[in-house]
Amino acid sequence: MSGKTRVQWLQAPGAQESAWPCGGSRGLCPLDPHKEELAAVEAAVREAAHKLAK
Amino acid sequence: MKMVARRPAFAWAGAPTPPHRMSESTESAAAPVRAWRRSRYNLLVPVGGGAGAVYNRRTGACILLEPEDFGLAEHWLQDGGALPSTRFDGATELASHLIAAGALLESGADELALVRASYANALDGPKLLLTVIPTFSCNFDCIYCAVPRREGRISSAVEAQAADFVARYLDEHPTQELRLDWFGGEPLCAPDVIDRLSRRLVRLCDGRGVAYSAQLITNGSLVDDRTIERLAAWKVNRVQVTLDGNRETHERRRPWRGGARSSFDAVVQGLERLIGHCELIVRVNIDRTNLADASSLLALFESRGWLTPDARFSAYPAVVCDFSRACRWSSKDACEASEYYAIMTGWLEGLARLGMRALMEGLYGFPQTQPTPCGAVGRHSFVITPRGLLHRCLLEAEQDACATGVVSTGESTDSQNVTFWRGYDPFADAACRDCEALPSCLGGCPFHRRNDRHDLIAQNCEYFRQLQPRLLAAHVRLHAQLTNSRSGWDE
Repeated sequence: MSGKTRVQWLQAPGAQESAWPCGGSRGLCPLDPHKEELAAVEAAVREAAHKLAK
Repeated sequence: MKMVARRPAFAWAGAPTPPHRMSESTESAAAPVRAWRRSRYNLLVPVGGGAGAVYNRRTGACILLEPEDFGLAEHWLQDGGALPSTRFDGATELASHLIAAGALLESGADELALVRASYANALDGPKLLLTVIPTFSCNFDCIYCAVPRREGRISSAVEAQAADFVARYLDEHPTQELRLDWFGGEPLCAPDVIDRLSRRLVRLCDGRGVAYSAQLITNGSLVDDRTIERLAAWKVNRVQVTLDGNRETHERRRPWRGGARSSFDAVVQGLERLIGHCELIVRVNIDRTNLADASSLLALFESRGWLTPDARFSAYPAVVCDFSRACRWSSKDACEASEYYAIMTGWLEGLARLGMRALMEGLYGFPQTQPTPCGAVGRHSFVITPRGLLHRCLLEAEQDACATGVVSTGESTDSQNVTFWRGYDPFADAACRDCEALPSCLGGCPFHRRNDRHDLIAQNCEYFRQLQPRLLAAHVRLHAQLTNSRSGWDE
């Protein structure tokens, strides 16, 4: 496979977490989601590539 | 929360870059990696035309791939497929993305250990999570309320004890943030308590360099101009209100106690006042008896001008359960999974087409990683009741016998309630340990496990194992359909 990879990152690792039960919105407890920007993604992908190149 | 963000395009150099800290899946070893394996927590979602997405339940990462790459990813990641060779068949760029997402791991990686480590880390985070019930009183008489009819409000003595409890806690534990939820009863039946205690706690946090924020969970009917004026001083940046349908439906399910006023009109007026002053979340509790009316609410919200991307307004459907002994609602009215899926995807589509933040949002069923099964198992999470009792779980706050201590002296280490919550182990159940949905679920609600609610635990399993993958697919396919262009692809 020689073509260029085309990818959309829809969600970064660790970007959305729920500290409450029942899958967040399904349950009784107050929802507490938070999301971070995808800034870490580029660094993570480059690091993975670096590892593969070893 | 916001509309899906795309990774900013970056030029792929292909050459090694200086190593720096990243996810645990790739940071551990300096030696060359000889073998790889697929994560057991992957979900693969075809979106049509051969393209598809890879989601990993442990990391929460989700990537959308074009046909050729998705085909190869399927080949690598599906059971029975061929594991990638060390050199990844020349597709090292695709492999890099999959490794960064946690979908591929070094062959020696112990994924369950990574989930356990994440859980252990989350238990002892730098946030103090408080839920304060200023009063058990409520002006509504909702058919499914999980809080028993009882009176009582926080006294001035308990107010002082609560402030002292927080001060001691902040002094004894390194804390970066205090996050408080006002709950009830109806918390706005005791606005004076909220006002005094908020000001004390904000001062305590300011004096210690601790960030403070609060959420108000209210029926919305008592929100007046004075409430709006006080939100800033209370540092309430998010308000959650419940509305269950049109006037007739809402007033059948959530009547004003004694029928003195229209609960529907009062809630809508409250929402009108709140809009623009905070992040506003409307929860629509659904069962079989109000599905159609709940769906019609989107039209109401749109007609009011609330469904605009900058309104900081969200509305989502939530299922009703008979959570506690106080609940008068009957589980025979509970939604089937297919009904929940239909209404959730209907809302998702309607909101996304209006440009609202809905795609890839946990509020609308997009999977979230679950660091703990509940805030209640955390080391720094407490519920304070009007009598000054401490609890871990607000669903237990109706039962004084379930208290873990008193606010004047803290938790009682010899209490069996404290033993339960501090010793809770979401990995004790062998079926959960072996489950591919474990990172999204962590065994579900500890309160239900404590009370042997096998019916609700089974519903939980059904949701995470069967329904959540379908909801993930709905999000990704709708995203692909709406974008339907190459502009979002990284070149």
